Amino acid sequence: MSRKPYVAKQSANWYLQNRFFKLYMLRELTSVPVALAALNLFWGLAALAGSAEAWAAWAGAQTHPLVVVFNLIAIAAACFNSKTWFEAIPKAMPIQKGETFVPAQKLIRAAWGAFAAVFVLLVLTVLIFA
Amino acid sequence: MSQTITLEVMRYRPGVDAKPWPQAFQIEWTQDMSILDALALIKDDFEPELAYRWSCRMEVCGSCGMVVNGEPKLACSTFVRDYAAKGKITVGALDQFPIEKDLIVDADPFIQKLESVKPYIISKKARPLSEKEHKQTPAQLAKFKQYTMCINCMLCYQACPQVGINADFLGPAATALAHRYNLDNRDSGKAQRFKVMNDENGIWPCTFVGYCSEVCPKHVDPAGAIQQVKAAAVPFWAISQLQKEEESK
Repeated sequence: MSRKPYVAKQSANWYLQNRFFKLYMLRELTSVPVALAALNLFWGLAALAGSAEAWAAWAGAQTHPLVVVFNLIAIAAACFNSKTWFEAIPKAMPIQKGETFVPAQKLIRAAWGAFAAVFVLLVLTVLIFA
Repeated sequence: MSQTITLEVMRYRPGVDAKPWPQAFQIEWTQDMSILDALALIKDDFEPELAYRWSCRMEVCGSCGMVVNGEPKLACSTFVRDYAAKGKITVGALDQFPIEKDLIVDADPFIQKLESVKPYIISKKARPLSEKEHKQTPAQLAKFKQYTMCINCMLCYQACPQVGINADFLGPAATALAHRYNLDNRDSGKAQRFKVMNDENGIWPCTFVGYCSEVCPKHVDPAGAIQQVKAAAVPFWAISQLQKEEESK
């Protein structure tokens, strides 16, 4: 009998099929609010370089509740994205010591430590220069 | 006390069926019954024409990869008892590969990918016997040992949505095995493997979904291997680009 293999097509909504895929899509989607927040900052820089009125308009817009909520979403998205990448560190950059590898949790905790250090440094910088 | 469960098997008979369809069987199950045991029971007692692959029954041969309730699993190490609360189990073929019959798929696409990365030690020159054994320290072995655990069960290919989008994507297991040989101190075939892996359908279609590592029954972590290969592949890509420029001059 001749062969007649059946070739299936992956469903268009494969990313809704399990929790793992949904979290993956959420990770990828974090790029949208983060990119928009970056554009907002570029707008601020352009306003600063432009004129005093432009800067005042931008600074004024930042206090709008919608912009505040949007920035909070962007921060949450960036934190979630960081979490996924910190968890990827032991997979992508394993550190071998003799016959064993540095435990994954150690590397992840070190990444969060560095994250916290940069955060504190930024807060201090703002407090000093503000 | 006997307990029953509905086991639905996706049937596909070439030349008879246009596409796979579910055939339900009501079976009595026991605590120690694997999905593979359940399929054997169905074949023996209900449907002798049911086709599926199996061999070792102990998570070593990698033959019995299937989709169980939507998840890629080895039928031998997946137990009916874990689905008792649901009351129904649906078993289908690894449909990221062409389905030949019922639960049997054509593994050729995977085998071709595996062959393309030369999963064996490549030596620059033949080692004479007078040089005696090629020594490898435990630390050198530890570097790649995890990747030697791959049993070629293809569950990682079933788990990969990028394979579903582009069937030519080199995919998880082939990359993990290429990485295994690249990390071996006795090997000198890196350049040949990176040539394949830097191809358009090599490692780069991977977007690090990571589900391949989640479903791997041997904890090989092919997703991690691909990310490591990506980092290591960049210099080889740059050199190949420079060589191309030189050739075009």
